[in-house]
Amino acid sequence: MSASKAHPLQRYYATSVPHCGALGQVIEEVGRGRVRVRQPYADFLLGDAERGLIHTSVQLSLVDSGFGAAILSALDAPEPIATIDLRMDYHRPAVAGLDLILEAEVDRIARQIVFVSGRVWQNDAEQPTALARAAFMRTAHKTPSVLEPAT
Amino acid sequence: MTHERFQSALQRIPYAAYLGICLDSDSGIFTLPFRDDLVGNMHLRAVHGGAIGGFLENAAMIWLSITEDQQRVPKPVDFSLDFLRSAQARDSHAHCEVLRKGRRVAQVQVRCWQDDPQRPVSVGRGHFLLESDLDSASDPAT
Repeated sequence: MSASKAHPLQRYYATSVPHCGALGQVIEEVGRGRVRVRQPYADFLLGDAERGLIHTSVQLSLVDSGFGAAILSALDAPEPIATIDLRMDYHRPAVAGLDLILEAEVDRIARQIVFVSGRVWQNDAEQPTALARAAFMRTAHKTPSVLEPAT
Repeated sequence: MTHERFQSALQRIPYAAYLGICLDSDSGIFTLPFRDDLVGNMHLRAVHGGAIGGFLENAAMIWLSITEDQQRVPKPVDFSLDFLRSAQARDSHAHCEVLRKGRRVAQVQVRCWQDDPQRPVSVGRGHFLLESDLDSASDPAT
């Protein structure tokens, strides 16, 4: 977690993914096929103002982009990837005032498909607020239907 | 009535208000107006998958709040998303269907499209805990 020597992915995240920048997400650690991303707390992230809970959709956003970063960290050269599907299980509420941490890990890189899983937590990694799992398509390898223009 | 309930849901769900979600009361169609800070990839100018996912999850929660007249925000138990096409730099729309509403849990399906409702960009489905007598702020989601 050295601030002095930014990993290229950290720069990419900050400059090329506007939505992550808008939410304030920061990649804290990058390994080979592994990342740790922090979502700093802010009031606009609440999903239930009465109960004081961070929105599950914020965790979903953190997972989708963090999983993408984990895959890029595992590839020898950057290539376009696209989420095929994503599942979130919300194990317990994420409370206001605390940051969210995502730890994501690439489980398998196949020629065309990559599987990733991860967990989101606040102050105890053993007490996750959400578990997530996703499949991605490596779009450089074939003409991918997921990247077809919508028109 | 739907309009008032929608406005009241937005007040209780600040992140839905931040995303800029709108609802057409007559058709029941939700819209996520395109905005630069929803972009997930500068080069492709595609809407971020997390923003689309958040749009669908919020649409499902809000639709449940409105149609089931929930006084509190339904708690998501799980949510699954299939991304079918890349979401371009334009407005997205969503329509929800409650496939099952039990006493405590409801299942909602959401379909998202941009220009053509027959060409969905994404579909989502999730389970939500409804308010009950047992509900309290400290309860875990499950």
